[in-house]
Amino acid sequence: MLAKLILSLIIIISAGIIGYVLAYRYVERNQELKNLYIAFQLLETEIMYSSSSLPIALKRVGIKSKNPLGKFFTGTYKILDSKQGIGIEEAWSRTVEETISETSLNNEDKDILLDFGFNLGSTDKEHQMKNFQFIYLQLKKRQDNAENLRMKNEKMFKTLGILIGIAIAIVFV
Amino acid sequence: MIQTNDTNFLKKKLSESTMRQEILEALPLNLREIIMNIPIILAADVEEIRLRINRPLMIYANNEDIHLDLKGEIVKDKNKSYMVTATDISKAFQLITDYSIYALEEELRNGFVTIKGGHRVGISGRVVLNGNKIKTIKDISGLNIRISKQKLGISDELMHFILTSTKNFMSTLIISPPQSGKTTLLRDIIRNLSNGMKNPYFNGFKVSVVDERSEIAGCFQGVPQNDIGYRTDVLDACPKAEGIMMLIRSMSPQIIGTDEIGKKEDMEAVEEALNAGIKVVTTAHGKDLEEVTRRPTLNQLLKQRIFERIVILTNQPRVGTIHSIIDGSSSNTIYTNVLGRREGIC
Repeated sequence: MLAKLILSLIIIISAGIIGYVLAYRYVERNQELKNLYIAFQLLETEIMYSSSSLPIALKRVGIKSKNPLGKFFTGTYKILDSKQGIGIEEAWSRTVEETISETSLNNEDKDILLDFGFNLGSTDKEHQMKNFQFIYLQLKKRQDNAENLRMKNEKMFKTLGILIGIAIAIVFV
Repeated sequence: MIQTNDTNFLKKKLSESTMRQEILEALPLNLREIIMNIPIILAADVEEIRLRINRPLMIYANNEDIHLDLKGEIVKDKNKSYMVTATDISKAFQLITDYSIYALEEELRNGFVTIKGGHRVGISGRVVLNGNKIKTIKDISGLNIRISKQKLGISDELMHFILTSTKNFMSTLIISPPQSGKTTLLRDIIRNLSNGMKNPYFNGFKVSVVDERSEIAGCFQGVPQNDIGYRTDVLDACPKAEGIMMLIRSMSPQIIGTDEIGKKEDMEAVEEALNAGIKVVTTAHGKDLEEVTRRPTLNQLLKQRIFERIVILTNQPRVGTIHSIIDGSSSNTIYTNVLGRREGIC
């Protein structure tokens, strides 16, 4: 009887943990989008007000941002700094493709990031500003979407985990 | 990821190549390969590398255009030459601007960017206007990489002619046709004036330079890339007239150096400097003295006998040959290279 009780508890707890882990993905994506927003604001300041050259701006933002998001910037910086004649667009998209799997961002988020690289650095200040405004707008949208998903799914996965655990315990134990 | 064997090989070759590294770094990989492979004898003489969209890649050396093929070999037939593509230009432009076009708006308005090493890259494309003023250049269609060459010591002999026995410098005007090395000569004069010399013996002067087109000092991010002497202050990218006035007030120079005077306000600023007891060394476009006197503004300066020495350069038999030196106050020629000897004084 006692053994059964302990077994049931273990099943319920592990199912609950699985539920939490699944739910955490949504929380994390939300958080990452927020951090990304901040990182882009930093980059904008570097470009618009300090007029730092792009590689230097990317390096600074990379250091200031949390990993794995910082890798988007440091990765691009490293490619540009190697002076191999690789264009900014290519350097950025390469880095995004490589780093995206380390984050909780999904494919649609990736597309926004890739679009951003298209105009980065290669136009005058006015257009750079527009590029930033555009990505802010997009990130905001993605954030809302992430927030909605989180609200819906966070609770669901958490309770679902525990409930499934209980169900398994009742049926099999 | 970046460090493949391939690029290590490239790096090794970069440092071995006779072409300056900063020039190669301004070019996309495929062009880099081509330029790297040009014959060594030629590499040292290259003055310009010209990229024009959908037209042959061209280098300018020893007063002639040279076409190159994919392997960097010289081809006579221009159809066999490597054709520059739009991608080449846009990549090169990104590299030249250090991926930061937004930070170079002022430079683009002037039509050129100074890169590391003090080399200047001229830009042509579609000009965007804002009212009557040039706002920027877009749709870049042509790049001209002008390789700046320092020739240290070319003015050493000339210094005997432009210093008085009391070790005072005489205000000097260098007259020369385009591409005859006047900026190179001016830079070396400035370096000598600033550092001082053993023969003729003098201590250095405080020299200030107004470098409107970033050609003399070749400043990159504020740091002079050329040796212009250790007593030299540089006002980079500053309009000459205002720059001269600023320097008179702020840096207490003994000598002001500047390039290519010609406008009315430049003359006034030069006069102002001379009135303040400051000597001036500068240049003007022109084939000879006669041509310069035909320009009203310059003529006025010459009439006032403001310049004590006038140095006339020619590109015959080779770039940077001094044709003659004229005493500004008496208009007597004190040195001529009538025979066009190969060994001029510079």
